[in-house]
Formats: sequence, structure tokens, C-alpha cells
Amino acid sequence: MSTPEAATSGPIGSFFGRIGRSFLSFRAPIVGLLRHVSGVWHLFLLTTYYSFIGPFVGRSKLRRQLFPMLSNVGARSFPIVFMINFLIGAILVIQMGPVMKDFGQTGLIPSVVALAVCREFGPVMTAIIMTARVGASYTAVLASMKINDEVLALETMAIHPVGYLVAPRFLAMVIMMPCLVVLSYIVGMIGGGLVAYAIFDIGAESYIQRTTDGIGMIDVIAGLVKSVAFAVIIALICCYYGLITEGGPMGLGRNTMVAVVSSLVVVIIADLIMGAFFIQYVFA
Amino acid sequence: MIRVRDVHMHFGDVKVLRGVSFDVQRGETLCILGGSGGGKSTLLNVMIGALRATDGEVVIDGQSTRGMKERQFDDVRRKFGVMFQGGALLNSMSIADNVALPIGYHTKLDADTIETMVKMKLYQVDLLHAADRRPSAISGGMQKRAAVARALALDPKILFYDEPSAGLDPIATTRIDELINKLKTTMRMTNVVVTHVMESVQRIADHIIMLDKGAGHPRRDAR
Repeated sequence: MSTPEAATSGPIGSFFGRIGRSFLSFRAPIVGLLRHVSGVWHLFLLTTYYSFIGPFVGRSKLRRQLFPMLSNVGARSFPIVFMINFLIGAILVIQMGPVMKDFGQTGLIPSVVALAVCREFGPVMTAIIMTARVGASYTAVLASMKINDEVLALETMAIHPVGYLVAPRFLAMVIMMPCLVVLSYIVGMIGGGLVAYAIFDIGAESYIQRTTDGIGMIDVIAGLVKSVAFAVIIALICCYYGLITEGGPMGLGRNTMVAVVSSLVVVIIADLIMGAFFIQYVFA
Repeated sequence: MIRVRDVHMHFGDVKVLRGVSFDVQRGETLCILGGSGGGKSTLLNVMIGALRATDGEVVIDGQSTRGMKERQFDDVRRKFGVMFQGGALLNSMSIADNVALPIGYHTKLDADTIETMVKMKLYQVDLLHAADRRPSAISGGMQKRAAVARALALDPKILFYDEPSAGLDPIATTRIDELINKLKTTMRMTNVVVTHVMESVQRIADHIIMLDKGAGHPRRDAR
């Protein structure tokens, strides 16, 4: 007579047993991931409400917090965005220039640099810088406030933490990121232009002419669309991990690390998806 | 003013509160006593709406909070203030700005009026001289008095205190206790104090409730 023990014994039972155990071992991380995705989505809905509707129905007052945030996110990020994107433009020419020279195509260097900076490097490098510089500070500040009961104190004062803490940070990121990406376009091309002049003897006038010939408005806009999407991703993920922090300083450190890594991974995945979409439907 | 009826709070299988009931009348001070892990802070969090009770009812100034939505609860929250154990002042702003925050957020008063109100609140807790200082630049006792000033900002009828004496020396503890008594006598403030310091209980309590393993023992007159 068959027993439950008999059903799970033998090679077939052992095989299904292994599958079952593998599934159970993966279940917790998958459930955890879905919980975080759901949490970020919920935060997105609340943030959208407190950013765009709340101020008009008296549910949030953004003005006082927004301007210092704009300064922190935008003006204070300017030097590092400038330097990194300048160097990226220069590196692009240094790496590609000799290969293009071998094919007798040095004249295409300005166009290639402009396309690479507008479509890819400008938005992505700026997003990486903003994740490290601003996103990490969002998580750390909100986590510290959560640990010290400051978030709970806001709630007991009938001040919604999303309206007071997240909405201004979200808006600051969404407003300043495209501005910084426009800056990254300009300095990236300047960096490339200086190296192209120094190594390949391409004059300023010729460089500018070939750059403007090589890119269209659609390339500029595609980069800006990406930058807004990246800003939403970084602001929401970093604020979310700050607000769910528990466990004192250890929790703060862990969540800051997880927020930065998660933001970067999601930014790169979003870049891949949007890049494929633009190539298929927009640039074509 | 506050009615708590048969409140239960479970975290999974762990029963933290098991049928706690009590009343607090206007102008009274109730002290909630109990050992560590006895459910004092959980009970306070249920009363202030930071946690929703698994079962039972909390009525604040005639409004039952049972099944209340978050936005409706905001109206109840304006009737009380909370002083947290560590003060929970926003470290990014001065003491005066901390006190001004709820006033500026919930009223349409002009800046001069708000400044006058803030000075009045800080005068009540004897902190006028520290108005421009950051929370991190003042002592623990001053931080707790500043937290009381912020809790008073919207002229609530009820003040909740979470361990007001924690981490304070005896002199600072006495000052906080005197402040609680002063608010009761001058403003008929209803005070609910979570504490485990018996000297404070003797100084401030009209009534006490003992929490033992989540069960609330019958309150008795403390004096």
C-alpha cells in the first residue's frame, strides 16, 4: 500500500522534493522583492498626489522645503556633474579616435561623441552621480529621521511624511535632473572637442558644425526623457528605503547601500528598455 | 476626554496588549506604569494612532478612532500633542522653527503672528533663550521641554508623554514634572504619561494604570 513517505522516496520523489525545496528557498526573496516593488509603487502614488494635487487642495506646503532642495540637488551637484561628463567626453575621443583614424573617419568623431553623450552617457552618468551624491543622502537623512522618531513626530502633528519629506525631494530631483543632463551634453561635447583638437587637429568651427550635423532634436529630447525617468526612479527608491529603515545605525547603513545599488540596477534596466524603445520606434 | 475599551494588540502570535480599558477625564494626569516589554509604548502608540489596535476601541474627545481612515485621524491628531522619548525634534531646524512647524503647516497665520505664538510657547517651557539653537546644541532636558513646546503649538487638549524622565538627571526630571503639573493646573491639560520612574509618578499622577504582560490592572487613585 502506498504511503506519503513512499510517494516522496525514490528518484522521482527526490527530484520533485528538490524542486519543492528550491522553490521554498527562492520564495522568501521573491516575496520580499514583490513587497518592495509594491511599496515603491504605493510611494509613487502618494508622492504624485502630494507633489501635484496636495499643494492645490491644502494637503501639503512644498514651497518652503522645495527651494533648499533645488539648491542641494542642482547647484551643489553642478561641479561634479561638470567634471565627470567633461572627462567622459574626453575619454570617448581618446578611445574611439585612433580606431576611427585607422578607417579614415576622423571627421565622424564629433557626431559620434554628440550621439553617445546625448543618447547614453549624459543621462546615465548624471543618474549615477545623482544616485551616489543625492540619492544616498536622501536615504541616510530619512532613515536617520525614522530612527529618531522624527517621522512619527510629523505624523502625530498631522503632517504627512510623504508630503513634507518625500514630495520636495522628488520634485527637486525631477526638476534638476534634466537641467544637469543639458549641462552634461554641453560639457561632454566640450571635453571631446578639446581632445579632438589636441590629438586629431579638428578645429572648433569644424567640430561644432559636424556635431550639429550629427545630432537632431530627437536625440536631445530622448536623453531628457530618460533623465526624468531616472530622476523618478532614484528619488522614489532612495526615499522608500529611508522611510522603511529599522534597526538603528546598522539599518541606516544597510538601507543606504541597498538603496544605491537598487537605484543603479533599476536605472540601467530602465535605460536598456528605453534605449530599445527609442531605437525601434523613435530614431528609426 | 480619553476612553480606552478592551484594547488588544497582537503582533503575529505575540499578544502585547490583552484587553486594556481605562478612562481619563479632562484635566487629569494618568501615568501608565509597567516593566520593560509590558506594552506601555505599544498602548501609547495605539492611542496616538501610530498603531491600529487589533481589537477594542480608543475614543479621544468624543471621537472613536476605530476603523477611522488616516485623513480622518489627522483631525483627531490636532486635538493632542506628543512628547517622544528622545524629543524627536527635527535636527535640521532651530528650536523656534520646530515649534513653528505645525502652526505654519495647519494655519494661514502670517509670519509675525507665528513668531509671537512660538515665543509664547517657548516662554511656557522656559526656553525662550534657546529659540535659535539647534536641537543637537541643547541638553536632553531642554530638548524634552522644546518637544513639549512643539506639542503645545496647536493648543491641544491632551498631551501624551513617552518616558519624559528617561536619560535625565533628578533636577531635569523634577523640572519636567513641574511643567506637566503647571500645564494641568493652568490650562486644564489632560496628560497621559508613560513612565517607570516612581518619584515622577508620585509628583504628577492623579491616577495610574499598571500594565503587566499586556493586561491593564484596574486604575486607582494615586494620591
